[in-house]
Amino acid sequence: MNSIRSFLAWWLGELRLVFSGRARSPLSLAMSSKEVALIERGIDNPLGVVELADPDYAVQIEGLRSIAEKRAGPSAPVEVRLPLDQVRFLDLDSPVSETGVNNAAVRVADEIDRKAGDLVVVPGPSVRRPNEKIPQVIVATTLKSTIAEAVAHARNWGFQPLRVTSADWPPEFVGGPNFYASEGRVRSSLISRVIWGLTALTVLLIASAAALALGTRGSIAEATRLQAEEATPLERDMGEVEIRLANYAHSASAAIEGRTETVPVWYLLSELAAVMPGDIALDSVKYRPGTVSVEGRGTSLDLMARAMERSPLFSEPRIIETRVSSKGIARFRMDITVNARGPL
Amino acid sequence: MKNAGRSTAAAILLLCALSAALAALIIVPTFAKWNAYGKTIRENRATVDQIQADERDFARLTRAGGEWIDFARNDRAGFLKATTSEQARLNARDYITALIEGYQGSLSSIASTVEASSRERIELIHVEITARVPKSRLPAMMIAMEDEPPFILVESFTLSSSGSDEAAIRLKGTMQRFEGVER
Repeated sequence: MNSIRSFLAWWLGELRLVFSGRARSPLSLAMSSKEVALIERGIDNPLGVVELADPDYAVQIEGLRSIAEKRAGPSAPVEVRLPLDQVRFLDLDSPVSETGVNNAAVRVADEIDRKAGDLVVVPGPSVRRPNEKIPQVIVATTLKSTIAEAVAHARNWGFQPLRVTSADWPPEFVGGPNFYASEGRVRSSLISRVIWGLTALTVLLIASAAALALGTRGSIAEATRLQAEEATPLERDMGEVEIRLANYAHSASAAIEGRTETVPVWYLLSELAAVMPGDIALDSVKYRPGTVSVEGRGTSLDLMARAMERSPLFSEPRIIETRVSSKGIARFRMDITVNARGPL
Repeated sequence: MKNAGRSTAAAILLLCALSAALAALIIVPTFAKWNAYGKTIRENRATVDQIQADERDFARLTRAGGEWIDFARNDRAGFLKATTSEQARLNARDYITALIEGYQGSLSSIASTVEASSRERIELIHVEITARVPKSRLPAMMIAMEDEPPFILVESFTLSSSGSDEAAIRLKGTMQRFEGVER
């Protein structure tokens, strides 16, 4: 349970810091009575250590500041960490009110023979100890003068102390105690609130638009469902209807189509009369599909045959039989192919 | 998460992951619902469209059917009007007799048979005619026979002239009856 509380406290605390717009530094300046160390926050990787007893320490401190400037920006913002012997962590019975915290300050002041007003007390998370009946609250405390001294040192050395905390803290006290916090901000609280507001408004608008669109689509789906239910399907086989119509049309056009498939006799006789030379007299005409046979008398059989060839209706005139009758007039029988074309 | 892993980046990453998970919890069902509605809309519209298309097609076919019926009933369709096959034979005889006599010809003989066509409801009335027609009226009579309804489709034709003004014709032809359009 404690680990969950610890996790949530860390996570929400980090997010609060990120979104609060307060200035943060990736570096910590860890102080002790003997040395000062510049370390990377989070992974505690030391970037430089300066012993205060070193006669050349001012130059080395400047070196640390230079590193901090490169890493964190022009004013070398850092988190100042107080040595552990300057900070005390105590468990108080929960719940802890503002008054309770103040009472804790009085209790700590008694223990270290100081006045309560000299102390800064920072409440931490609530925890349940195995040997305690009621939940405990971890508090961190240190002297106000210690904080002021650390801040003053950091400023003198050219750093910008953003907050003051302890060198270490109990695992439940996520993020460590915040004894001092500068007013330095990345952006104003008003802008932060405006950003939050706009973000919330955007999310709300998107959610509303999505809900509206979904609702509208649902209404359309319902409307189309009703429309589909109301529409009465045609209880006919459209294919069968089409086939019946096609058959009917096929039958209805039978007589007309029959006319166009054959050469009408009147046209055939008309064409025969047109191409026949004047000295040819026909005695009979026999027509069967594709062929016409003529019998007659006359002299210009060759002329007649050539005339037949020129006709679009006739072709391949074949003289089947000729007999010479009186006065040089020939009796003939001729077969002619009829092209399957009616009147144009 | 152990303390060593706790950093600002991890906190933000965790926030992003949690936001993404929450968004997915909302977006995925919403998207599924959206798709389901879309599918319903498409299916219903397709159903309605199909029904309307069928109705339009049926109306079109009905109209076309009516036009074909009107056409078939029209004399210009060329059918011999008769209610029965026997009536068709009699009507054919009467029609041909009247036609030949109308052109001052005389019908010598006429024979007819009835046969079903491969086309639905069509009967073929085969006629065999021998007649004598004035030569001068023969072209007009043949035009009337073949081009005026009811049409006679000539299958074979023999014309012989004996030197007089009349021509003897022997003709085999077919007339057609369309059952159901006697009016």
